[in-house]
Amino acid sequence: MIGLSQPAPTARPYLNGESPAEVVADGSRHLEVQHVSKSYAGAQALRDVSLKVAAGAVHALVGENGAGKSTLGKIIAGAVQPDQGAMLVNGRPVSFRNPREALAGGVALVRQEITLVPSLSVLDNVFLGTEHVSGGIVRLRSQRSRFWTLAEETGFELDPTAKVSMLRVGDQQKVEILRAIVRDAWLIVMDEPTAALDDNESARLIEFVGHLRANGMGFIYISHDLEEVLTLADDVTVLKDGAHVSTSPAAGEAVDGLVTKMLGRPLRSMFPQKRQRSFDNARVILKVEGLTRAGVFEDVSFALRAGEIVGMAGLVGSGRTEVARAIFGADPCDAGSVELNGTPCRVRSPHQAIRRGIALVPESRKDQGLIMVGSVADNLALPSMREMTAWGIVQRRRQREAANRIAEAVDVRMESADMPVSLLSGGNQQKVAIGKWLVRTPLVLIADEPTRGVDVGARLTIYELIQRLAEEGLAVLMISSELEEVMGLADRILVMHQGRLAAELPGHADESHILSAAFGRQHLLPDADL
Amino acid sequence: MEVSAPDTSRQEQPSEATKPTRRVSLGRAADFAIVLTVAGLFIALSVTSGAFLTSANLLNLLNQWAPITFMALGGTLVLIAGGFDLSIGSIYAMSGVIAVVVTNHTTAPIGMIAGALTGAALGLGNGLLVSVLRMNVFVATIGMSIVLSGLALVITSGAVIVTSNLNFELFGTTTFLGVQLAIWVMIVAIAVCALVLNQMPVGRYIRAIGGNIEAARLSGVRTELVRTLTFVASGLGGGIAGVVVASDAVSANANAFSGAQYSVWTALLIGGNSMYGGEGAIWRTLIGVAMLALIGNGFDLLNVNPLYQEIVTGGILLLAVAVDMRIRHRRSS
Repeated sequence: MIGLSQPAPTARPYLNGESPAEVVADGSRHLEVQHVSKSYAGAQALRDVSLKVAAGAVHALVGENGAGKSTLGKIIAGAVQPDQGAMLVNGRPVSFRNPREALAGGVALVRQEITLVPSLSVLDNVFLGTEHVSGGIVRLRSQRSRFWTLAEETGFELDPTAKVSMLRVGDQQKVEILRAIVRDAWLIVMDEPTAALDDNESARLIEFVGHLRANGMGFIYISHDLEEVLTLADDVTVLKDGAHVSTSPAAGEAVDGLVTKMLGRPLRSMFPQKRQRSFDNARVILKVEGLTRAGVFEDVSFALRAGEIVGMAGLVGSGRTEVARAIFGADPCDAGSVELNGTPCRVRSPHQAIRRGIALVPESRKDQGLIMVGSVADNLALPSMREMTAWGIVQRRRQREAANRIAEAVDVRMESADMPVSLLSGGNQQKVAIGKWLVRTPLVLIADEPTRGVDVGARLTIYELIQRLAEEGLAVLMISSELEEVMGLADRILVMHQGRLAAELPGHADESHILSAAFGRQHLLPDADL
Repeated sequence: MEVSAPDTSRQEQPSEATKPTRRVSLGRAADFAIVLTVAGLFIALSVTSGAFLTSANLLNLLNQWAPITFMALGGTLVLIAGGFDLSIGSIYAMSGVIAVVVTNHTTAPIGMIAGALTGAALGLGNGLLVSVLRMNVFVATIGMSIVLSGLALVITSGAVIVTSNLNFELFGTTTFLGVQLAIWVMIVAIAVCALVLNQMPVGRYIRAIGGNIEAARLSGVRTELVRTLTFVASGLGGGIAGVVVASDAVSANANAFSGAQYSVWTALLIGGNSMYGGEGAIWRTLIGVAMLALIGNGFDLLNVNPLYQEIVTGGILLLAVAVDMRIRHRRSS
């Protein structure tokens, strides 16, 4: 999907003064992971995984959420310590107790979350902790000249005086990469580097990775995007439930094969049987017309019908979440109307939206969906305290009964409803985040990335739950970045692109049509009237 | 990590079950330690000082610490909702001043009500600064505090203002069943706060907001309203405290706040209420007040240099916050 430019043959070496040819040819720089295991709170995140990666190569790690990719990446970069197993750098055993030690060993981590100091300049961030100092004074001129050398070699176009907080995520990643290079790293662990980038930026990042590889940099590349992985990587390792499944040259792999290895079964069986029915005659529950928020989304119109699951696809940043939040009253909007059951529904706060029967499962359960210090029962009851109250007093029995009823209905695996929700696994937390809306059944359920960070088993439960709710007559809007999910579950698919509704497709639409619309390639759409 | 297959989840449940208990145990131990310390202090004072375990001394102690308790109760609600009221001392001083001034112009009941309502109104002001103007709580309440201190000095011209209205002496003279009026009011205030926090929906909302304000808002909690209410409660606590102290002294003083506010904050934190909101309880605040009261009384009764009292109290405060941080750190890692 995304082309990789050929690395420039004249690129100068910059890694510890060695030429890339030497580094790659004698294979002196390599890292080996041997029989590594790690468990968190009793759950096995990795078991007996081995791996080998050399400088000048891109080694991709793929697997479902919770397969252990990030854990393995963090162990390699010293952010997490393994329970068992060994690591060797250039044949010598090492144990990195923290990222600083890993960096001293030449291994750097570029995380999903950027770890720069936002208030400092690009230059300050690149050299933070390794400033060029003489006589206690930072030699800015020397840093600047080193910066320009690096910028030229890597092809990064960055303003060294720009404040990091003002940069786009893609540029912030470049700063992180420069920071690693300045510290003589020869292996960079990248965890979902393109997840927060638009397609243009992703393509450029991939280009840079290819370019750096040609200069002798090695990469552990963790990604959900299998096409990206197949384009970029030299080798691909598949993990499933913390265990090693396979390592093979990327050239001999295909997306379907990788998916089957990742899931242990073909993709389609992940989803409940899709209902083959038409919703054309079903009652319209929610009607959105011309919804606009300046600079964020524009002229978004669609309808949700009773019993229907509508999937909303699109790239991160295409305005999907923002549309959902505006309908829910969490964010303001500038123009347009929302109708609920045929009557205008102008809500100015989530409080009002909820009272009208709209529910939102937000995209981040930790930051927006749940009170992590609260118990399961408290979280489940929070939106429905009215139902739990008599004479102004919360009826604990009523709350406990409701909590147990919901927990059972959504299959939360817990010891008791009084345990803190933070001690549940991600999948079970997500079930609570959805279940809290079911004490009093809403008319419309908007689920934003309902399976993000959720393991395979819980995923299936959530899919079944969403389908069951639709069958009970709810109108469901499911926002998801995972196309398989949208295709596997939705009866109709809306695609957002740059704040606009780019396409409305039937539930059986194929991947290429959705992707074309998501990337804004209107002309590829087969029938505009779909 | 995730638990996917049912068979593995069954294996993992016991280990997941042991983990939380181990994590919670430090918190439990800290709770136990503070309750034990207060009980220990009580017993030690009973043994070492004959004057301590007398109803006169104990009632006097309660009466003396009632004003701090009023402020700490409201402060508990603010703290659990994730805020902090740095203006509580100035509100307390201002309310006393207003009570005396209004009494001198009208009657004692009107003056007292005006004093208490002044506190509530100033709390409302804090709440609006924080929730409507979205100011940081520390900035808003410290700004309020500075303004009020100045204003109180202007009103009183920096002098102690007195009233000759005998009805104003209500809290200094009235007892019921041998117990001072302030203590009765304190009991009511404790009951009301405990009811609100533990039994009413707004109490759940307060905790939810302190735990995660965005999640609370997206769950339909009217976060601005509830946060504002917590500041009103804190202001009202300051107002009542100001009235009670002014009534006891038959005078008010614009500089009365400085010692009181430190006692309030110390009591809130040594009882184990979390600095970061979401977690806390009325009993914790009361334990905190009790500890301060016993330390103070002990130093008095045993004739120890009162300067050491501050060193000891400050040390305990630092220890309590250090333990809170440690518990949080463990929990998050």
